Amino acid sequence: MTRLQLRIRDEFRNRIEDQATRTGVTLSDYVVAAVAEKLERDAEAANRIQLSEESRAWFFEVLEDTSPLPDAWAEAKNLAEEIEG
Amino acid sequence: MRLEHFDHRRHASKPFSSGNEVMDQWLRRFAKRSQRDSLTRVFVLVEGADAKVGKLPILGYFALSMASVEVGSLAVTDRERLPRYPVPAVLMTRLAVDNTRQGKGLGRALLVKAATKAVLASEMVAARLFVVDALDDGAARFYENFGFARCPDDPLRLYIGLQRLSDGLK
Repeated sequence: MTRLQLRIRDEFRNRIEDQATRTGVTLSDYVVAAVAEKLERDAEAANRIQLSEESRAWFFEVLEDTSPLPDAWAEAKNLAEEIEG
Repeated sequence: MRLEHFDHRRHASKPFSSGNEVMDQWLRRFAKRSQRDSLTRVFVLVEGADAKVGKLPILGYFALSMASVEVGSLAVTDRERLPRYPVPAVLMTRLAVDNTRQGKGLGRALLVKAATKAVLASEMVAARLFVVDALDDGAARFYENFGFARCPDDPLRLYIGLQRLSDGLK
């Protein structure tokens, strides 16, 4: 276990404490739960890509593109063959 | 040279220097935790035998994770073109080569390795896109040479179909 110290305004601390009391948990538990929830949301959001309506046509073009890969891949493959794994 | 899963006990991240502080700091400060928490898989390029004392220098690295892509709301006809939505994707968030090894094609080789792993992943758990994050316009042009398409919403994020990669890399 490790300790985390925070510097926050008095009124903000009071708000957190009031809410923790209403919920029936300690101040620490309330803060940890709130941060854990935000961590989850942020981690999910980082890997959820939301494109705009304007990108719709472009998006389908990319999904449905079956054209051959550019020549750059052939040379790069030769280089990659020097690497195991 | 060989590609290995990043292991902070065996691979020396501190000396790694690509010339870009963001890439270097991420490897030094966040790669270990990100891998431990299964947020990304970090692959490092190394060479030589394991030293009995000390760690192997990292010549280059890339980081992969899974992502999903959505585009606004879909019309009924759009849904027929997308049996699965949101569209699953493999996301490469980072690719960097150490200063001492730049200009030798290692970046291109690592891209092939990353793309091959993305294709493999798509065969195991289904994904349709390989998405890469470019650090800057120069990096974005590098990916465009390989057929990646810049997203109109974010020109530093580029996309290519995994079926197209699979067909081309065989």
